[in-house]
Amino acid sequence: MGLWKVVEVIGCLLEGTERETVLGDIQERGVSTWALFDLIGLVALRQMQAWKSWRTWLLAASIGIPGIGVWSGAQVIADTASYYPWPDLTETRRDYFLGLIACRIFAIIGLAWATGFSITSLAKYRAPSILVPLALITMGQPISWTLVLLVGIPSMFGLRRGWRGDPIGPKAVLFIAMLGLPALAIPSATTWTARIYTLGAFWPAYYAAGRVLRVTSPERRSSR
Amino acid sequence: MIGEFEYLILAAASRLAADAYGAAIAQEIEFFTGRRCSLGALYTTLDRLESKGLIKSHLGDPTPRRGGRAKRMIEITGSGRKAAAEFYTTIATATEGIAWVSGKL
Repeated sequence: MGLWKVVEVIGCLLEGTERETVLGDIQERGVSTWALFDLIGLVALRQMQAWKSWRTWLLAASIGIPGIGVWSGAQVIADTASYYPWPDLTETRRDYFLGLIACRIFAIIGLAWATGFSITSLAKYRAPSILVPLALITMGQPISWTLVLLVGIPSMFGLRRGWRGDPIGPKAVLFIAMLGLPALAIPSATTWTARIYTLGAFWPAYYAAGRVLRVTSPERRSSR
Repeated sequence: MIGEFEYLILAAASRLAADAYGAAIAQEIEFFTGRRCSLGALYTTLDRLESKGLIKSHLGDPTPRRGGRAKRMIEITGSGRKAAAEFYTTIATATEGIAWVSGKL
């Protein structure tokens, strides 16, 4: 990958107009390692400035709620699958637990995708400001394949989709899936507090469902 | 009062007049100071000057030399000229008669 390609990729983290003018200036002055460092410095500065806005703080705090749920949920699944005394269970109980785990898996994958989608679509250029502290927090935690499969990969797909910002179809399926996600997680919540937390933690799924509606509306209007 | 780098930007923009934009201002500053002008510092200072009302900026025409990308054209406002003049007067007054100014080092 050439130096200019690296500059273009990093430049994507600047807002539209500023990206245009800064990349134009770099191209005009000649691409160099210094120019790359300049750009990194500017991007880092803009990311830090993002924390001056209450919106960044609110979003970071709001992402923490589903984030903790997704993380601990995936951890519970990994532990249950490894240590649960499956052979000692009756067939009915085993089927029940397997069903419960399957629901949790779908709920976690869906929520991880929706969380990633919400981060980049709500704070496109400020996304690293939110992702970097989250990554630092999770750095000390043990990373298992379960976490990578259930949380890492779906959230990456969600981040990518939110960044592109194009219609997230098939719309009807996605709308129902997003609104139905909490229903998969509710059976795992045994107390009323846990149920309320679960319903609240799924806000990225409600947001994704809302985005489907928003994307659909102009098409509906134009077809009338 | 404005700072030294802010003054240098205003001076460069004034000299460049209608051709004042990011890369040209940076080049002008580098020519007169002999120091490298980082784009990061330049753009954040331009933002600050604009928020203080000392400059105005708008998007210029794209050129092939810039890969078809637009320029951020800079225009100094009346307050900008006043602030630059005030800075210069202060420096000139404060350093009047000092050895390195009168060449008696």
